[in-house]
Amino acid sequence: MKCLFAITLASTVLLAPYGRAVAFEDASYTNVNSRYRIERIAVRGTTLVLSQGLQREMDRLAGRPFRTEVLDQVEKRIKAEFPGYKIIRIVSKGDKQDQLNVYFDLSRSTRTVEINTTRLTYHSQQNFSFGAGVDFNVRQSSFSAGVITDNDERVERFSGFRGAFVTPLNKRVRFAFLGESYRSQWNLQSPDLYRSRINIEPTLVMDLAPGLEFRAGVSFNNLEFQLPAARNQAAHALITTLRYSKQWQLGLTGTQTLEAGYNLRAATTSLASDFNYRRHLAEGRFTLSTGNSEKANAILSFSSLIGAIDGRAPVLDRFTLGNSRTLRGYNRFDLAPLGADRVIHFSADGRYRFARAVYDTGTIYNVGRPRVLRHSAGLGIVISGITAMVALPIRSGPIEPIFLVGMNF
Amino acid sequence: MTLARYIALPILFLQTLVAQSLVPRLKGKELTVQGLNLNFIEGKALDRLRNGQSVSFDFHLQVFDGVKPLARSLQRFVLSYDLWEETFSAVQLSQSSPRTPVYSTARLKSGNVATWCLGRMMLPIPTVDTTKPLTMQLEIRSLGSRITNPLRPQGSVDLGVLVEIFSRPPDPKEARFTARSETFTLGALASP
Repeated sequence: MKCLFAITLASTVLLAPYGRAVAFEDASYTNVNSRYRIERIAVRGTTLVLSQGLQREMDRLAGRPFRTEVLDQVEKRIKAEFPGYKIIRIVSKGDKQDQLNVYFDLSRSTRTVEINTTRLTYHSQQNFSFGAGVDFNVRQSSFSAGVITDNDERVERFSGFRGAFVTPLNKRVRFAFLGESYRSQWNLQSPDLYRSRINIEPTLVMDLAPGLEFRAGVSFNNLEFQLPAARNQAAHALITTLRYSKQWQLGLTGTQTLEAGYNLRAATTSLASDFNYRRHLAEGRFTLSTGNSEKANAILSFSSLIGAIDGRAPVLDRFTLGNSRTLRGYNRFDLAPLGADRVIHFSADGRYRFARAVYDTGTIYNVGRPRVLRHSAGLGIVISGITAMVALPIRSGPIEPIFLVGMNF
Repeated sequence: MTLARYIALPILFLQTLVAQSLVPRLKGKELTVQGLNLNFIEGKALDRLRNGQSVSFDFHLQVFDGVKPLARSLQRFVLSYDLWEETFSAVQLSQSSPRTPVYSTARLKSGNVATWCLGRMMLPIPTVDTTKPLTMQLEIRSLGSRITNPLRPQGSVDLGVLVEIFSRPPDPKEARFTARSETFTLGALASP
């Protein structure tokens, strides 16, 4: 009995200071602090409001065990919500025993100039498209300038430069100004083709509600034609865009994102335009992703677009299909070499780790002409954000594969 | 002369206390090393540890015959700093099963971390003349980067990876620490 008492006493004396949880109770954690719980977790240093989803996740972490990998995920989400900020994580003892406080201190990033590659695509039948630019901030205003040569987005290859700035007027309204100048190259001849164009576009951008943005302004587009004789024509238009985007969290690492937009471009003679038309374009995209936004493990995305032009529009504004984003198994010059005034397109894009598969279907036609619904599929790999893909048209008859390599598509 | 001796001896004694050095020992059929005043936890790595994060350190212990290495041991340890107790914890990772910590300890004071880690490193006794002068060298590297899962820091922890890490020149961003022992002979270590 004495012996038992002595052992009990000795154990109590020896273990009393170490009475807390065992340091490495789980092989997944080698951080001794994982035995403590989070008392308080918050973002400091900004007056900006966190998204509800992020705030909810952070509130949920209070009282839970301290896990660095979970905090890493939270930090990535904060970074995504506040891209211009530098984040420093501060972990300290809480007010209560065995609890920790976690703070994410935000400060304005001193890096105000960023060089980026907005476009880099190779299409086996349309060659390279490349765009690069520099973004910088001066006080509250954001500026960007860049060069581009693109043979993917529109009917022609256009090469030139662009510059833009956005400055806030008040809490909800911003003023944006875009200027761009391009030379155009064509692989066919037509009196509808211009050799250069200059566009100046002042707009106002309003935040109507969280995620809902309205943009209105004027586009002054001057086109220089060369056939049958050199002349300038204007395609001045009122532009209106309504955009909505919302992201929902699925736990800490999954997200679903909805983006939708409607754009109206109305050229009228009252603006001294030589063209009179209305161009409607509606787009939508729904994306499900697991993993974080920078390194998602799996992404499934559905997108669609529908567009119509009413009146006589310049080739510049006509729709195309058959590029790196639409009907990827086709060459756009085989579908509508001068573009068309009606378009409907749907795309499903799935990615799992480095493998990617796409399915596109759509039709492009002019009013009064027959509609042909086309399908294509592509398989590729994604390494460091660069996709290499082989796309094939799904049709009977000869099939020529299209090779695509690039980013941002 | 006597005065000089009175001044020199305490200085020498203090220098011995402060100097960072390695003391080789024979333990059965293996060669071990004891670190004196080794303080490799500093700079950004220390900042990260004091901020509740884990930091991995790669240890490379070698015995030289003056020119070429005769034996070496490579190990990875993951350290963390207990914010409440203000002590360090260390985990030695298994090379055969990187997800498994083979040994761990807690409540180490800063100065004892190196001692514990070095205690986990054994070298086979090199087959050389027992009178041949030898030296031991310790190199510790750490990227100091935050690691999500410390059991898989910067990929695998197998011997090949560690050899590769110590084969390349140190990255400027990498924390690096080296220490060298005085010259010794196996014969002198074996004698009581």
